[in-house]
Amino acid sequence: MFDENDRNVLRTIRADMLRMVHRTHASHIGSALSVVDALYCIYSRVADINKDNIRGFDRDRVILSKGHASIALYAVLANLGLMDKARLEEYYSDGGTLPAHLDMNAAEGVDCSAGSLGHGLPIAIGMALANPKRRVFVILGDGEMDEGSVWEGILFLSKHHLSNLHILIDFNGLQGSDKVCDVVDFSRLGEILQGFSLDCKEVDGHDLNQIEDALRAGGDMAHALILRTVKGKGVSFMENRLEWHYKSPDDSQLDAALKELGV
Amino acid sequence: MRKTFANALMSMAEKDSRIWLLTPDVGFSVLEGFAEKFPDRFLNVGIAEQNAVGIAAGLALSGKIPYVYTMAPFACERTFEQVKIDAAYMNSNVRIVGIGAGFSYGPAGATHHAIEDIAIMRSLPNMAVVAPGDLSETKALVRYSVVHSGPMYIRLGKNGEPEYEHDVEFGKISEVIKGGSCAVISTSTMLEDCYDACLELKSEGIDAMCLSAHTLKPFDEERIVDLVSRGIPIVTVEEHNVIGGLYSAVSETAVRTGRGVRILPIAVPDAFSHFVGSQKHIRSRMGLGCLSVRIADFMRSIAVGSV
Repeated sequence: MFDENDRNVLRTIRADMLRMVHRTHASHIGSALSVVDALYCIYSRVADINKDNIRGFDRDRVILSKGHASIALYAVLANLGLMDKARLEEYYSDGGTLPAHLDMNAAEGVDCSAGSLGHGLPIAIGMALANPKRRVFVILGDGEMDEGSVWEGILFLSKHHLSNLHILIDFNGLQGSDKVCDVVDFSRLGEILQGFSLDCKEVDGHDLNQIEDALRAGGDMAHALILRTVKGKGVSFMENRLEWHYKSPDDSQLDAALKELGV
Repeated sequence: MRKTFANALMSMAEKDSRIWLLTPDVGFSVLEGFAEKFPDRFLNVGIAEQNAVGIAAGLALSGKIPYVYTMAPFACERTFEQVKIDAAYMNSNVRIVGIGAGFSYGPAGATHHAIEDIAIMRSLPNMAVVAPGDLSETKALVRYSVVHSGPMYIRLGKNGEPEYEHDVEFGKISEVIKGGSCAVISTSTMLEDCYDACLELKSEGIDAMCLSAHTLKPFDEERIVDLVSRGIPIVTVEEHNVIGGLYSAVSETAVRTGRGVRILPIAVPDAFSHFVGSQKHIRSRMGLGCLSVRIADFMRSIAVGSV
């Protein structure tokens, strides 16, 4: 069970993310706050990835296909000791080492470059095929489900039942310019994924225990987990607000956000 | 050339279990042998080219050596961003095998012609580009592709290419016929026509050398610099748009030498074919015919000093 200690670490991670975008005026804090709980759950408890095995292939893999939420990955890796925490200062700056969108050369633990949407699922399929004894976790955004290449991967899984593959869909209901439901009707997404032979579940994407339980369940099919999430989760004035896909907090907004987090 | 590729790959796959073959539903009568012999390493991913390249990258990022086999336009262009990011940016050991170089699929129409693939693949960092001109080059380059580190594009013909005895080394322009007065450099499927043209030129007293630029990237700049420094006129011959292919690669190198040299490009003009007919017919309508006559004219124009 996740406990108060985990919630404290996550408060620190959220604070680190807010400071990173405040300092650099970078975008996508809303997307990162939405997905960070799932990433923390995977890296802290579920995936077999640690300092000793992180350099090789013989371990579980994680692909953050919605690469614009990179700060969530950087902050999780840094706070779990998988990346030097000082490197968070090297985000999005001249001469820095951590780009806004993921570059797998940037750090061990970044298993796949990402930034253009729709690439992660086919790559995750390849990794799952190559290493059937290891699990692959790929995290997509709900808006990313618009991409045709995502569906090419899902169609493939209707015939190739890769039970070591876990697809997580960060369903926060907001994409770049609109509500997701105003662009594509994904109201039957779970049913549709089931129809293509995926073992599909839905959980509260901010409840670490629910996410862990769902990811540990067995089965013979590839797994799809729809994470019901809130864009901007954890900072009241950012929650469910489209503008935080783009904006970064100013000084007073950062103070208010950190106060709310209690750090 | 397709069957030569498939046979070469099968003999490599027997020795190396890292080799996988993926196709987006292409390869009837060519890939069955591999599929039967190595069912666990063969995938028809469906008519889904982006998926094919993405899966290949995932395999490659896990230590495998995957080959994605389909028609050149779909292999390079439908998938371009997957090739750019999943293969080139991540420097993964993906091999993109594009069949139907140039107008090999002549009657199929321009959707199936590949006259821009070399240009776009050359422009990607990390990407090696090979385009064998005959069966011996196909065999040698497929064998090499297993040990190459990083992504590679392999451009293949389709229609009964010949086999000439000559040395083939990745990254080097091969000399197929020796000569001294002009260099006829072809790439990919134009080797046969250039071979014949060089023999005709010799019978007319022009001592043409026949060179095959089967590797377009990394490009054999040393050979070009040598030709330029010896003042040998160059003819480039390619079943590809005049922009971005062999002529470009040769010119880029020649210009950097700072010396003057005459270069005649024989290539597809910057236009789509709307012609109907065989590869041979479309070649002739798209500026790739009458090689020996044009090269002889070029040499005469140099002799009389006209521009």
